Amino acid sequence: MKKADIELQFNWIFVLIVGTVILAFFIGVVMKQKGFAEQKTGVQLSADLETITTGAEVSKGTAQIIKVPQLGIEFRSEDCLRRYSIGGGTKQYREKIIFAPGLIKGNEILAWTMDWNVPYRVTNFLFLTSPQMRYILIDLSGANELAFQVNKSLPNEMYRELVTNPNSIINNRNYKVRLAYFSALPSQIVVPDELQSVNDKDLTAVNIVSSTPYKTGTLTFYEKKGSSFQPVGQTYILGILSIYGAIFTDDYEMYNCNMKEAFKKMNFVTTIIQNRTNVLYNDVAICMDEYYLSFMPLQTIAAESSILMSIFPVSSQARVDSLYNAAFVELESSNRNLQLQSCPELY
Amino acid sequence: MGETIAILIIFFFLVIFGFGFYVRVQQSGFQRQKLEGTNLRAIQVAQKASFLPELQCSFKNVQVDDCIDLIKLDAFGRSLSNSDGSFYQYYSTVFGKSDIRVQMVYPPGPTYIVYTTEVTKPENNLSTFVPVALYNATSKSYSFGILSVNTYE
Repeated sequence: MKKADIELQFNWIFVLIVGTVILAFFIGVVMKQKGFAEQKTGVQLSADLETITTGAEVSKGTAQIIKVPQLGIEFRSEDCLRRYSIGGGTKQYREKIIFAPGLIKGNEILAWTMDWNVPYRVTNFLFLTSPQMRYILIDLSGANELAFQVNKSLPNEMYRELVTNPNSIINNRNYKVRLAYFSALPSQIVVPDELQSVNDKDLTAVNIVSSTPYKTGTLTFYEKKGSSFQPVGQTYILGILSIYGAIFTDDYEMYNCNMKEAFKKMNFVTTIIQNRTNVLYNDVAICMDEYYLSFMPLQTIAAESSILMSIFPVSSQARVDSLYNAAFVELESSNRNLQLQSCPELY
Repeated sequence: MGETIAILIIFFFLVIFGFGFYVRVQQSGFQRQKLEGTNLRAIQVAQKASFLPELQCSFKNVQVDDCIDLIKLDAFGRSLSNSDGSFYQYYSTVFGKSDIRVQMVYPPGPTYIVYTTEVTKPENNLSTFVPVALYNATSKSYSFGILSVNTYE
């Protein structure tokens, strides 16, 4: 073989090696950029969500649709560390109270904010969901006032319906379906025939048992296991907003952790109101009797909320009922009397 | 062969130069985003402080925007410093590294510290001022004040 032939072959080998190196380099850069861009979008969306949730904390009674990139937002709670994850980035939302399903899919988020008054404003609850997720309110009696009221109050943008016969439900192939039964018997909580084919993790249910004025009651969370629903756990409500919370979130632990956080805030706000009442009791002599009467219910609210912020759900409903009586019956009555006497109100 | 190697050296030199330039542009974008984030956080903290039910005035259970109840303000400050630390711990997650004060402007009066945090080397200090009404429930009178929120990085 001539020297020139050998050189030509070496040239080709050289070109092959260098070409591979150049190609590998650019593929590497592109892959890195792709990962970086996804992470950046996740971080940006996470920051946007932070802004949305902060905005929601300060506004109330608003429902809005927010456009987001189609990354999917996951909400989960582990040992009450409540987090959301977007595109690989995870953020803890600590003091915020967000009721959301485990996964929000699609390029739109429905954000609904309501203030939790028990009976004074404690905090805002933020409800997040996807307009693609389906909510079915099931009133088997056909005359449940609460079911009617909930259906009327939920935002229009939410994909929901009120049915009396679960067998009339047809499968619309939504990525998640949440069933909310109203005062159903455990034997009546069954997977509707049409929804048997839905994946277990994508079909959940809650049974809401509450009577007028719908401020206390019980909730039982269910998960689909094969062809039937299995109870996950029982918990309690305080105020109608916690009923909405149980409908929006499909996770039993998430609901309870959100409620614990709400009770913690309730405890802090109550401390302030207690201190304020003490000052008014000492400074506004003409109304001191009425302020004195409010000391006991405020003390009860502080004590009960202090327990509920660390143990929820409690073993019996008595503790929640005691909180309800102190807040919605005794304290509300005191505040009304103070208004009638033209005294500075408690809240 | 030598010619090819020379071309490759120039090629890689251009690639590295271009990459360096790209990284610099990215870095300046990152700095800008960081500053935007800080601005956003300052506004968020100011918003949170203005709408805190622990401080806001309320009449017949209706909250009044941009109004701070002086008795609540005083009670809030005392609770932050007196309690077992759980109160401060909770609000430090709400306000982060910031300093929130309310100054009574008319009639001239004291400055109340709502929340403060010790920062050894404050960076990107941003101040937001919100005019507020200060309500005294015992005398049923109003004063004029400024809610100032300083946030740090």
